[in-house]
This record gives sequence, C-alpha cells and structure tokens, in this order.
Amino acid sequence: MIKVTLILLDERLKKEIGKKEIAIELHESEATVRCLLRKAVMQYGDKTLESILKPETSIFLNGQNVEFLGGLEAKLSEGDRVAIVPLIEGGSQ
Amino acid sequence: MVGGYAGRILRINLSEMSFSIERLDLSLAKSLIGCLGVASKIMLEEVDHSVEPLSPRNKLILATGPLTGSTAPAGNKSIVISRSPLTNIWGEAIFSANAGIELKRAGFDMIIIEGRAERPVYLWICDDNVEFKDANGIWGMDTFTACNAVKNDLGEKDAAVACIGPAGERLVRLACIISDNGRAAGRCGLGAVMGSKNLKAIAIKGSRAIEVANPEALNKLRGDIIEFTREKLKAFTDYGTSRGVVAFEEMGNLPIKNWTGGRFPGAEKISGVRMAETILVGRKACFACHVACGRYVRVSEGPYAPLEGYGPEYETIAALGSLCMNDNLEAIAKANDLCNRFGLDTISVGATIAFAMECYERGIITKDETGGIELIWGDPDAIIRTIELIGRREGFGAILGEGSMRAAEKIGKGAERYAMHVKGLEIPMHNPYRFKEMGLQYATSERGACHLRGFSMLPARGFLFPELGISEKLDGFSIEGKAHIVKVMQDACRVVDALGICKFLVFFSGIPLKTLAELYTAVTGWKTTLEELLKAGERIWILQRLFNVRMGVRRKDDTLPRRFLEEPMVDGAAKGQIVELEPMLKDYYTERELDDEGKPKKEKLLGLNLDFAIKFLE
Repeated sequence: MIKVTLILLDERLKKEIGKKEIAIELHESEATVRCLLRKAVMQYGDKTLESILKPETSIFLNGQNVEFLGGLEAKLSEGDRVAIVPLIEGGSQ
Repeated sequence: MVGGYAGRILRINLSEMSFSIERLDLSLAKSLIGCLGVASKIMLEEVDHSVEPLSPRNKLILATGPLTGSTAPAGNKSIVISRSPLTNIWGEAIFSANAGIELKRAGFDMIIIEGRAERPVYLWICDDNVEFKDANGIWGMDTFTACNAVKNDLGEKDAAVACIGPAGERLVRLACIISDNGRAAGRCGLGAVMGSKNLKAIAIKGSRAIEVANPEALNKLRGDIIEFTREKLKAFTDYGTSRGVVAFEEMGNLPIKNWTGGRFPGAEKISGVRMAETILVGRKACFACHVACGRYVRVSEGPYAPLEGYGPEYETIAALGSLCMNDNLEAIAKANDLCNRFGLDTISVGATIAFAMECYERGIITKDETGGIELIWGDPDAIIRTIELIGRREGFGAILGEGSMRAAEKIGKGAERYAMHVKGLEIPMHNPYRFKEMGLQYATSERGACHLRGFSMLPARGFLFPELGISEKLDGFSIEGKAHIVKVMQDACRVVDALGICKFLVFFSGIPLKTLAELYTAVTGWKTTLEELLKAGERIWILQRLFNVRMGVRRKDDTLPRRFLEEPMVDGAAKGQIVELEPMLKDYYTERELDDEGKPKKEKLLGLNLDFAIKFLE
C-alpha cells in the first residue's frame, strides 16, 4: 500500500468534505490519479465527483497539471500530493 | 461623432506656473488606441537620455484611454508615465483613479506636467480652469489625510484627488502615487517624480459628459459582459486578488524567502479566504465595475490595532508576506496601510526588505547597519519598522528606499547577487521557476520586471485565448513556444492598458477578446477589429522599446537575476528548475524582429506605419 494526500483547494468542496487534506491509501496496482479519485468518491459521495469533473477544475500531481503527466492515468508514488484546484483560484496548472 | 476622446491635452509648466491647451491628434490616437500610445510618442520626442528622472526637465504624464470613464465595464484606468527614477527607463503605472475619470469630464485626455514649482503646490483643475494652489499646509501629510485636506481646502467634496505621501516628497525611489479611492500607481517610483516637481497633489473636477458614439451598443455590451462575467469572477468578489495564494503555493508559483524557497506552510494564513473569514469588513469596487475585488479591512485587537482601511492585494500579500516568510495577515494589513500612507510601492518595498533579510541572514549587513533592527525572516515588526524608515528616508531606510539595485551597490560585499530585479524594477509575485514564460516576460517588459505587461502564465494556468492563437494549455515548465506567447500577450496587454479597462475583467473572465474591439467601436464610433487593436498594441510596445533604447537599454539588459538562471529551486512543485532564458530570448528577438543589439528594425517600424520613429533609431 502507498499513502497519498488529496488536497481540496476548491472552497465549496472543502466545506462539503469538512477538511482540506485527506490521506488515502492505495494498492500499488491501482496507484493512479483515476483510482485515487474513485476512492475519494466512494468515501465522500457523488458531490465530490461532480466538483472534480467540472471543466473549470483541474488536478495537479505534486504541483504539475496531470494533463502533462498522462492525465488521470498518471502514476502515484508514496507521499505524492494530488490537488483539486478551481481555475479561478489558481488555474489548471 | 467621435466618442471616447475629449480631444484635448492639458500641458502644465510648474516652473512658470502656466498652462496651455493642445489638440489631441485624433488620427494619431486612432493608430495608437489612446493616450498611452500618444504619450509614448511624446516621451520619445521630448525626453532624451540627458533628462534626469528627478530633474525639472522630466515629464510627468497622467493619461487616460478611450474607455476610461465611458461606463464600459471596468473602464476606469488612468496611466501615469515618466522616465523612472528607479530604473532610468520607461516608467509607467496604472491605477483605477477617479482623477482620470474627472480629467475626461473636465475635457482632457491627458495632462503633461513639466518643470518644478518653487514651493510645494497642488494643482486644481476644474474644467478649463487651472490653479496652482499652495501646498505648504499639506506637505508632510500622509496620502489619505492629504487627499481629504485638499478637498476641504477647495471646499469640493466631489473633486477627485491623486497625491504623494512623505516618501514621494523625500524622493524615495520606491514612492508611488495614491488616489483618494485607495488605488495606487505603484511601480517605477513615479511618486518621487511628483515630489521632485514639488507637486503634492492633483485635484480634478469636470462637468462635461464623456461622449459615447453609440450609447445603445455600449449599453447592450455592458449588460452582456456583466451577465457573462459575474459568476466567472465570483472568486475575485468573494476573496479578492489573493484568492489563489494556497493554490499558488501548491503549484510552485508563490514567491518564498526572496525566491529561494518552494514551500510556505503559512500560505493558508495569508490567503484571501482567510482574510474573508477574519479582517475583511467590506468589498470595494472601482468605477463602473461589478466585480469589487478591492478589499476593506479592520483590525480591532492585537498589536496592529486599531486599523481600518483598504486591504492588501495579492501582490502585497506575497511581497510583504511569503517573500519575507511573514505569515501574519494582520501585520501585512498594517504594512500595506503604512505603505499606502507613506506612498510606497508595496511590491518593491516587500522585495527590497526580502533582499535585506537575505543579506542579514548571510551576515552581509548587521544590526550596526540596520540601526538595531534584526531583519530576521518572518518577523512582522522588523518589516513594519523598516517600512517606516523607508517612508521617512531615515537611517537604513534611506538606503533601502533607493530600491534593491542601488541598495545592493551601496551595501557591496556581494549583495548584488541577492537583489532580485530586472533593469532596477523588483520582481513581482509570480514565479519564473514555475512559469518560464514569466521569466521571459520579466526580462523583456518595457518597465522592467512586470507581471501585468503580458500575464503570459495565464495559458499555462488554463486561461486560453484562441483569438491570439492560444488554444491549448501549455506546460509552465517547458520553454517551447513561449516566445510567441509572451509577444502576443504583451501586445494584448498594451491594448487593454491603452483602452483604459481592467485586465482582470478581460483576461480572467473568458470573454472573447473581440469584445474589446466592440467596446472601442461602440464608444468611439470608429469601426475597428481586434486585429487592428493588436497592431496598435504592438506599435505601443515598439515605441516604448525605442524609448528604452534611447535610454541605453540593449540586449544584455534583457535578462534576469542570476539566481533564476543558475540556482535550481530547492523545494516545492518547481524543485530542480532553473529558467532557461537564453533560448527563449533568442526566439523572442525573432518574434519581435529586434536586431542583435535589441533595437527594433527599421523595416518593422515601416511595416507598422511608425515612420516618424525611424529617426530615433540613430
């Protein structure tokens, strides 16, 4: 298992979930951004998913937009930070 | 009928206490959009290398754009122009001053101020009447007190006032100009130019209508723009320009510890969200703006109380916060208020204090030089005490008030290495390690390191501009294609600045850029395309480049502090990065058609119909 941190920089999302950072454990075999988000949705419900999938929201892996790292299939390692960022607050990168 | 332009220029000579009224050449204005461009030509023709920035021969120009005061959404910008005493090159600062709007109402597009008054004066411009009023009684007052004192002295509550504080009076090179509605023409030390002219304030009131050629079309556009942008810019309304501090820290954009750090645990404590939850008591809108990103804050308890006034913007929060490792938001609000009252540029002040803190940490300066202040990273009181010294031009503050470039020269002992500026203007708060295009933009902006002359990191952050050929997100760590992005974004920013409209509304809302041409067409009555405006934007950039060439700027000056070029970032999202400037600069020179020395080519001037400027190439 690896442990990664999901960081919610969207204010509404943060309020819905009730915290800014969530530690999530993943199997090495499922250590991708997609799996991480799926797990977060299972844990916190559909509202999270809706917020994540908004076109103006983007996802960073260690500060880099996942679009430049293989998209949702980007591989995760122990200690990685995945951040969900609304465009207006910081942009997609 | 041509709308948008008052059609007249007011020229004031302070040495002779005289003024004259000139016609604005409308065909020139059309080819250069507005007075930003017209003033560029005037500066080229009237200010050469022999004109010292703080001498009576330097000009101080207050200019407007055709949309300024027109009721176009966020059409509220005024532009101050001079030869900068901080950089010795093109000096320019833009603010949402009501003074510019009143100037248009008084029937002028621009004021050119020359000479030096024998004694402190302020100007009172009421329609065609210009008076030189005694300012002895207000000399020494802080900016906000002085603005009110001028209104009281005149018995004119509705007059708009822009003034300098004690810093400008004392010729501090980081001095700015503040308007009575709390906005700052911050950069380039233009407050010191005003001080050098013994000019404390400019008060203006006009009674004329600002003509609009097609009011119905403008009304329709206004409604459409407000509807389209209100929700998209809600984060600006809710949290102000510092809405993105935490996201910036996460992505490696936030400047930390004089650009040596990549992580700042205090980011959340100084964010716009935290401000909204704590000290925010009101939101301030500039003229004709529905967004209201301006902050109004109150601190009622603790060491920085009592404090009530205009709150810090993102640039201020980063400069006096993370750049100095200070995570105390109330202290930042206090430091911001002090800078406003002294009339100091918060960006350059924060950056110069961060430079001094690094020198202190390295033992280059000690308490002996600082007058006993321990310039320790993150100490809010050290920051505040240093601002007071800079504002009064006292002790160590007299050295720092010269700006980081000159302060480093005076301090010596290798301090130059830690002075983070381009051409003398301190680096603003977006990180070129993270967005390489910002490095190129800083190296090539006409006023030195400027984030607002290009906003070139926006495409990498997901803001796309298909009309500029920018249809895909870009990797901020890559240098590929960045020269083109910087060039076209610089030209687009010159258009927005020359129009007199706010960049936040234009570049963060997703409105098509052709809206600019539609607004210009509705206001002036001249049917104009975006392509024509962009061509004019390029003309303005070229004229200002020519001005800088006359001041001695060459290719070697289009560079960055060595730190960005040689010292990899140690932490955070940009860990391991340096700025590969040289290849980007080479491409940029090709894009701009600059010769090897950095001069615009003659063919380029001809191609842009700038024949008159060819003589300035020699």
